[in-house]
Formats: sequence, C-alpha cells, structure tokens
Amino acid sequence: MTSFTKAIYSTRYFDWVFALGAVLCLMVLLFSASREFPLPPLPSQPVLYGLILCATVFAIALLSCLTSRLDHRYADDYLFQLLAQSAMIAVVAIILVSVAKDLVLLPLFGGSQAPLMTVTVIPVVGLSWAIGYFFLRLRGTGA
Amino acid sequence: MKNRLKVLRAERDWSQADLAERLKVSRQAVNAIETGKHDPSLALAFRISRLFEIPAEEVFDDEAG
Repeated sequence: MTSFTKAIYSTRYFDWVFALGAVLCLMVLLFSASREFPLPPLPSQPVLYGLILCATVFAIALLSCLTSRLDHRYADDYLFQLLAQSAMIAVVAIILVSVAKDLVLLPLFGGSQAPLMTVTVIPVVGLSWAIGYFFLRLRGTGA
Repeated sequence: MKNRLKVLRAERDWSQADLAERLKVSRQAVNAIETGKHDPSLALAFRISRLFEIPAEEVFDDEAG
C-alpha cells in the first residue's frame, strides 16, 4: 500500500470527509427546501431513454462493484466495515425519508416538491451516510 | 464479542500502534477491537491468532453472544 492510499483509506481522513460532507449536505438540503423545482419535460423518445437509463444503472452498479473491491483491498477491516454498514444505513434512510417526505412532510406543510430530485437525494444520502458513519464510530460496528 | 487482545498485547509490551503495524491495520482498528466496538473479520481473526500463536477461540469469546 502506497503512502497515498494509506492516507486516503484511514479513519482520520474519512472523519473529515464525512464531517465536511455532512455540513455541505445539510446546507444543500436547507437551501433546496426553500426552492421550487418544476418537473422536467418527458423525454422525446421515452423507450430509448428508458433503455439507456437501465443500461446506465447496470454499468454504474457493475463499476461500483469493482470500486467496492478496491475499497475492500485498500481499507482495513474496521474502516471497510464502517463504510459498508453506514452506506447500508444511508440506503435505508433515503428510502424512508422519501416516503416520509411525500406522505407526511409535504402534505403537512402544503408543499408539492417533486420527489427524488437530485438536489434532495444526494444530500439525504450524504447526510445519513455521515450520521451512520459517526454513530458506528462512537457506538461500534458490532451487533 | 469479548476478546483478550488488550491483555495479549500488554503481555508483549506492545502499544496499539505496534500491534496495528504487525496486523497491517490502523491503530483505530486495534482500539475498536479491544474496546469491543468492532468484531474483526475471519481473515483478521486468523491473522491475530497467528501473530499471538494461539487458537482464535483463546483470543475471542462469543459466549456473551
């Protein structure tokens, strides 16, 4: 392992990444809550668009499998467990936050913001990933 | 899972950093295992077992669940 990968794959580095990322995500989330995002028009060739979208999901998922292998190779046991477990927390969080937002929060506040906008999804994933990461750092990764 | 890593390390007069270097993990990882905040993978458990030259079940105790 080079000194660069050693520096990158360290809990100290990820502590900073997640701390700064959480602040950034929080700011974007607060900013996006006060903005209106009109729904984009439907694509002119929906079938082709759908096929390309599915292909993109496959390609990015497979690429992520490879990068995850690299993470497993370079990150030590503890860091990989922290990242993997907190990523799982983020996935569950984005699903539940989306449901809570559409079914509870928006009707309660009389809003009609389009669901699953990039500007909302990424900050929610980032913030919940950071919360999961720091929770596991403090309380441990064990059951 | 409980473990005797801290005791075994202390018997050899190693610091957490010394042990981390021998196991090729971070000092934070050693600390997390010693304080029971992280259960090591099977591969790391075997590395620990080989380093201390004792069976893994003498390092780790899963009786508590």
